[in-house]
Amino acid sequence: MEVMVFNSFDFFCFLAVIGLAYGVVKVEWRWYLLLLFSLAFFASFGIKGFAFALFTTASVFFCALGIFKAEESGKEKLKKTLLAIGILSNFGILAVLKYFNFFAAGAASLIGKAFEPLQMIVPLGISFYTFQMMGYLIDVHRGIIEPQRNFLKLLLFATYFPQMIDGPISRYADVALTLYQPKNVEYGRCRNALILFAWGLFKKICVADNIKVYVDLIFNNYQGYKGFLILTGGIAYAIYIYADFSGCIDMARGVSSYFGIELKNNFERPYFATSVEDFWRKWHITLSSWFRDYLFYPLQRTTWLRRMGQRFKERGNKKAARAVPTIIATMIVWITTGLWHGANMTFIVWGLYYGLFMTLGIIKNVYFKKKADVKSNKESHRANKLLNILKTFFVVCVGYIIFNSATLSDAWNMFVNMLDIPHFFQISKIFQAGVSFYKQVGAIVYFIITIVSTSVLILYDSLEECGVDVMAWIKKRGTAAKYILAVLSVMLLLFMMNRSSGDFTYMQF
Amino acid sequence: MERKEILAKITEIAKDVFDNDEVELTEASTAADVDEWDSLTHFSLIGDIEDEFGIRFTLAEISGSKNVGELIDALIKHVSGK
Repeated sequence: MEVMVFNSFDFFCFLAVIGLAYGVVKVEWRWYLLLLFSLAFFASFGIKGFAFALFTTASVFFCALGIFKAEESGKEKLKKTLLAIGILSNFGILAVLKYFNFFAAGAASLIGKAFEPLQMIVPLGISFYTFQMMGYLIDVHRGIIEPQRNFLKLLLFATYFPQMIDGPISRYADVALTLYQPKNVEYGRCRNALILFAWGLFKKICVADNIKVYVDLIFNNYQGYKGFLILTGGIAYAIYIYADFSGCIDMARGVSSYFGIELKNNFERPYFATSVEDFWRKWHITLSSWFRDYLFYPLQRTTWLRRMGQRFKERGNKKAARAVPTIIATMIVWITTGLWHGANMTFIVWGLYYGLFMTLGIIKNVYFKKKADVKSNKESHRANKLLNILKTFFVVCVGYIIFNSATLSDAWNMFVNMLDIPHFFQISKIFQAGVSFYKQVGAIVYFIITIVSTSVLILYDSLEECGVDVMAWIKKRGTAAKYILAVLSVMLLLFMMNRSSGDFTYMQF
Repeated sequence: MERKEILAKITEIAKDVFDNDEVELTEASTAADVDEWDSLTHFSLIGDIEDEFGIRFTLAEISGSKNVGELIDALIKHVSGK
């Protein structure tokens, strides 16, 4: 079966067909067209996986309607039961498909028995659409939205093709209005959609795919590298995963914007974050806000954590009353976030790693926050900002070493090699790694494209961070300059498309 | 209980939670207006208000209230519904 990722010519053909059809079909029929093409897109990744998406939609559809009716008739218990059925059955499927082999193998090794992993189908985008649909169900339960009464419309919300590869995880309240009442095709919006799509494609095929060569070079041969070179592996992975993931999201947003359906941006220049907490407000925003609203907040409100806080308060320990329950909820959220990325100890430890930093942040906030910190003057704020950005980026890069290692022992060995201080800067090895990268990336032209494209991406984000609207600046240039830029961009993208391009990393999550 | 009294009570609780006697809340106040009001102290504030008034907000009210005034609206709804 042909896999139709966004950076493939097959997908471009798919887009051309739906783009044309969308323009000629009557407005009231357009959402049917989106559904039809979404199902076709899903089917291109395997029809069996589609059965799971159908089950999720059907179960959520009926549970949500049931919850709404139970609310109207004041049956609080039934409401809770239906919510529990919807959540447990869908997270149950996700747990079995994604985690059964991992936990069963762990349990088998504990009791000293051999375990043959089961062959599982993991449907396209299951982690994304399951979370999205659970958000929908919980929102209906909370009374924030009314349930969708048309099954096919809910199926479109669950399987809308632009968000099937890497998300974003949408909220029903944000997209429902435009999803079912698509707008007319307008020149201005189409142009912006195309620019966004091309920018995402540029990030993917000019930056991510090439930087990945360096990432693999370091991570697959880390035994031969020490100190700074290992760190550059983490830094390269940071650039790679950002270009890969945000590139895919830009393409998804671009395609969706063509239909007049605006998807949430998942990134807000995350590597300019000034703290780990700030990073997670700017990285994979739709996932972190999902965990905040649907796991962290409800956990904070559970009776056992509230009682724990109250007990601390009764003993006169107000600070512990604030800190301890929050730390417990935070650790649960971060272990779950790690697990969301996949069934591997590296992801769990990576989650714990961030949980630990968040915990340190909470402790600092509760026990060491001085009023002077809050009202620090602007000058010292500016002076500290760059340092805080660098510190946060370092923490993130070290985290990526855990995240991208095949096993925990690989991650550990990489850290041991990284901390080999006497050999931290081995000029000959650094030169050797540079030459290996140059050779593996293919040719001088690819090497130059990698360096220039990565610089362009960094420059773009830096300018945006400084408040410069780069797109507005480009739009103000003369027509000739804009055409030259457009032609050069298309030529570059077509040239790079000819290389075999990789899948998106977040697809596997 | 009148809105003014509720606001005064919430202000008192906020001073305690934020550990800052200078905090003065109005119905238009939001988390952005008070330096110490972050996601961490937010739940302490909500929890203490709930204990004081013997009610329980829904999560939609906690995350959906745009300012103190809207929180008071929700509070009055719960108090009168008891």
